[in-house]
Amino acid sequence: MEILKIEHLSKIYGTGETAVKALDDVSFTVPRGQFVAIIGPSGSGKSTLLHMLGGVDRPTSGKVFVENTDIYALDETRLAIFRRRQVGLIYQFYNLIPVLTVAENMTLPLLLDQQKVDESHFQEIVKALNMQDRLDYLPNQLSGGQQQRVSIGRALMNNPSIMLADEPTGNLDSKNSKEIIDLLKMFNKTFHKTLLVITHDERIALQADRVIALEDGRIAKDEVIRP
Amino acid sequence: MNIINKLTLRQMRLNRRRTLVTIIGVIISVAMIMAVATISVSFLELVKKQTIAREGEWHVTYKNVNREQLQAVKGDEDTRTLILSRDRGYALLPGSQNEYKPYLFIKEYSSEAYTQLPIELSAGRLPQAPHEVVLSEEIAKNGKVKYALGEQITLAIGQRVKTAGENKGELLTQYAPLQRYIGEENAGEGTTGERTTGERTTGEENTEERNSRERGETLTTESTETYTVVGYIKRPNWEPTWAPGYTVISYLDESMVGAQDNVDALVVLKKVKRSLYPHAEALAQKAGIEQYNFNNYLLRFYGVTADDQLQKTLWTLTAIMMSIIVIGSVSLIYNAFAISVAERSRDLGMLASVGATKKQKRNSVYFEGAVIALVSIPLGLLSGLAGIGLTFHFINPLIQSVSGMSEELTVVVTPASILLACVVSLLTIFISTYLPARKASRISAIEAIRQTTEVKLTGKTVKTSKLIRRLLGIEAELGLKNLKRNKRRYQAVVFSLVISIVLFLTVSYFTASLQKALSLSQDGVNFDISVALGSEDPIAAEQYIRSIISLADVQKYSVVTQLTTFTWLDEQIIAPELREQVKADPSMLEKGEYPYYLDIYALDDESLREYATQVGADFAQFDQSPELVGIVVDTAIYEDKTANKIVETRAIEAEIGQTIDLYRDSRETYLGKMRISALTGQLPMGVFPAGVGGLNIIVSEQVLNKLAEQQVDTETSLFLRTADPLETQHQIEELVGSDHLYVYNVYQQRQKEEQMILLMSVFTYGFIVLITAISIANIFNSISTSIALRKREFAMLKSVGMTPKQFNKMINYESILYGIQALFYGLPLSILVMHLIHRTFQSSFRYEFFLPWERIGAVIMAVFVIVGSAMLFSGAKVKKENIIDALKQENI
Repeated sequence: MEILKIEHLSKIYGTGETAVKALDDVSFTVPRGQFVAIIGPSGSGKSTLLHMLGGVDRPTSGKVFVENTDIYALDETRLAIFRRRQVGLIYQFYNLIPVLTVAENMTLPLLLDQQKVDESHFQEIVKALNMQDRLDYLPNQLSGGQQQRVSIGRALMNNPSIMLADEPTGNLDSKNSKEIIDLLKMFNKTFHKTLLVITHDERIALQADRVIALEDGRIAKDEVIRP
Repeated sequence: MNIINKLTLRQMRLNRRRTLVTIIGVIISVAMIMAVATISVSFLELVKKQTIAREGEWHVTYKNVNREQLQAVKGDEDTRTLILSRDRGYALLPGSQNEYKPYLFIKEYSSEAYTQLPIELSAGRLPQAPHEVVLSEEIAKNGKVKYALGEQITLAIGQRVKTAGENKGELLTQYAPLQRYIGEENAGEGTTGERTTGERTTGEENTEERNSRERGETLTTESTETYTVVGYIKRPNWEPTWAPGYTVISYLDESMVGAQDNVDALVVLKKVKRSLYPHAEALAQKAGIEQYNFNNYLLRFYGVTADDQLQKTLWTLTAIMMSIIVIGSVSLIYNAFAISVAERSRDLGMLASVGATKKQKRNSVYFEGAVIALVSIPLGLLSGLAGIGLTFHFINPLIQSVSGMSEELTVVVTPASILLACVVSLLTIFISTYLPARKASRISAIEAIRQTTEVKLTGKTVKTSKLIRRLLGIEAELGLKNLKRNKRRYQAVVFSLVISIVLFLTVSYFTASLQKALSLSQDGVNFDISVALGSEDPIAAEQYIRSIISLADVQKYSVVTQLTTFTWLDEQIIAPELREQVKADPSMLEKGEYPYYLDIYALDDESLREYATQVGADFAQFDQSPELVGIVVDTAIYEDKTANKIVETRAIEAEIGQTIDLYRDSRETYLGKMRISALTGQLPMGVFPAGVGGLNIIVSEQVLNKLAEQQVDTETSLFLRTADPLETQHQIEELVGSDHLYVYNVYQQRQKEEQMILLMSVFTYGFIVLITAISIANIFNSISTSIALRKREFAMLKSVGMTPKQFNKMINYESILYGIQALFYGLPLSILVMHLIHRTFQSSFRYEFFLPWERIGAVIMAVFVIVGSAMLFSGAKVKKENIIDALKQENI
């Protein structure tokens, strides 16, 4: 039931004197369907960890297994396909392609995969996100919160095994934040998506099943609060 | 330096590649502007030098000045050099073998003349004392009278006076050829005629006197001089070829100008300014000089004459070229600065938030412009001069060959040309930076930080058809949308490409058309050299022909003798076009007949036989019949100005066996009947088509002689095909003097025309290459920036799962789309212009419109290569980027 396994993950940026150890020998596993919050001060390596998990950045050493696949053993193309199908990534900002509409942005992974869009699935997610009226809008015509909702929609469209979110509410006001987190939680519970969220916000962290605290590239605390 | 400028400099340094590309582009455009200015100035200088070399250097002439006036002119502050000149007059050249040049023409010049005028000493020395002379070489070469160095000659000098016809009694100059007086009364008789000198008794005459009486002129005697020959000169340029007197130059100096004497004073000015005209006028008035004139032929090159066509045309052309360069450059520089402003928008916003005014923000852009100008303009000026210098070095031989000039093109740099180039360049940069500067001044803090102005899109802007996605995939759609999002930048790239495409295709089409026209005009000219043997002496002509055709390189020859007679043809058989005219205006007919001129050409027997066989006529009839027979060429060509083309039509609608009545010039001078022995559309070598209202008839020499006997003038020409046209021409010119015969070297002419085209191509293609270089810089800048600005987007696409292959596909589609758009506008536009060029040529030449397919193909390939490599180069950098680094980074 382990969907995610991290073994001795390390990431060093720069060389020589300016070398920075962003991650230092991190290892843990995540069971399917768990909502994990990753917290820690800035510079603790949270984003780095998330990027490693998403296959977006290569580790200096260590392995990442997703559904028992060593993702960094894959070549560029397969890794890209992996990202497309297995992972849903949400960033803090600049998530959307400016020239594509909401609908197109959401279905982007599918379009890249040249797969047909499952209309009912699409409509379900759109309804859940409350974006029915804005399907033809361009990102610059949306507010910050709406943009994030679209990002979430995209992260869900291709039915990934894991959803990774890097400070998804960092840019939003409290009302929007609550909405986003509720949505994420809903998807986590209803569709059994494994969810890893990096956050500063204690309130969000407290809503998770498990909290991992990072400090200086290492796991400082790993607590399951809702078994 | 203030902080804003410091920041600007730092940004420029950070974006090294873009700054460099912009600088290179500006250098090229400055160099081109400088080149154009330099070419114009150097060209003017060349023509000026050439004029001085050919005609001499002098600026003002005061005519018939006495000693006192001479002093006034000499002492004038503007006078640099003074040349004294006096025409003494004519003297008979005893023993001259050229019956058209029986005289010597004596001119006196002061010693300054030899430096200022084109007098070339070929042997001996120049006159340094009175009664010393130099003789034109032609006296020995052409007149066949040899005077040795040191020999003394005594000449009776006088004036040529017209004795008959209009203006009787007038004095004749070197521009008046020997006057012939054709009249039955005086031919071959020994009666006394009128004389203007009373020295001879009537009765006995010598040959010379009879000759002078038969002429329409006579020679007075004013003085007798004895000269010593001290040298020979080459025939001076100012002596017309038909002048009846060979040039003799004698010595002159101030002391020889007596109180009552008159000389001409030629003044070389110290400085040529516009004020020279009023100054000369004042001087003349003050000194009482009545006649003075200016050497405007030379002065116009100094820019002081009003309304000179040459200068006007030259400067108009220069202005046009510069405008084209400026337009091309503006698009490049504008783009570069627009990009710079977009990239710096965050900084500018921050500056705004800390209190920078609109003016300060705006000036930061101007500052960047100034820095680029500072670096590029000097380098551009230098490279422009260097480039032109190099070009001149290589094309000088070509120019000299084409134009026949003896002077070389040198690079002339004037403060004016440099100033012009600088001003134009600065103006270009200023115009280009104006709009971006204004945009920069408006950037507010919030916009910059939010960075939302980068993409102000609406759904409509980036709408693409569904087809694209279905046919080509999401990558193509993304590519297309990417192009649409920044319309202005995209349009700038397409615009640059279109300009280059149109320029290249139209100019290469133009040169191709020139070459085609050249080859067409050569159609039918199947000989290399033609020699016009004149109409005077058939026996001498015969001799010349014999000697020429026996020259080593002559491969084929044809002797054509021509005379013109007249006839009146019945309305029924004249050309259809004339019949129509006559229907409209019956008064054109005389007694129901239309007057025609008949050009009758006789070929030498061998050529005639060949021709007759060719056209299916019977050569034998020329031999046998005592009557006049001829092969009538019944096609005529004329230019229909209303329909705007050249048309071929029937010259005459007659039949074989019909006869034509020949008249010499009027109905009273009947010559005989000519029978049409054959009708054809082909012309023999050396015969050109007749116009409507005329006929070409080909006959044998016998037939022609029968007509010529009846007082009809003939012209003989020799047409040659040779293995070495230039050598043969030299040999011919050596065989004969330069007077009777006119040698026309078609081959040389053709060569000249081809070289002219080559010369033009050098400049036009050079120009295009440079403009294209500017375009490429532009394209490169635009594309690499548009990619750099989208780094984050690309990173995000990658994070969502776009494979490298898909990424490449997207970039490729973008470049293909650029190319397709550029071609979509560029090709039709080029074809339109090509059509216009074709129409212009059609007014003189008739040929089918042809599309230069290979060139079009080359252009298409080039466009894709250019755009593709720009994208590839920029894309490669982006691809390698780490997704995360990109996502985190700013747009650097």
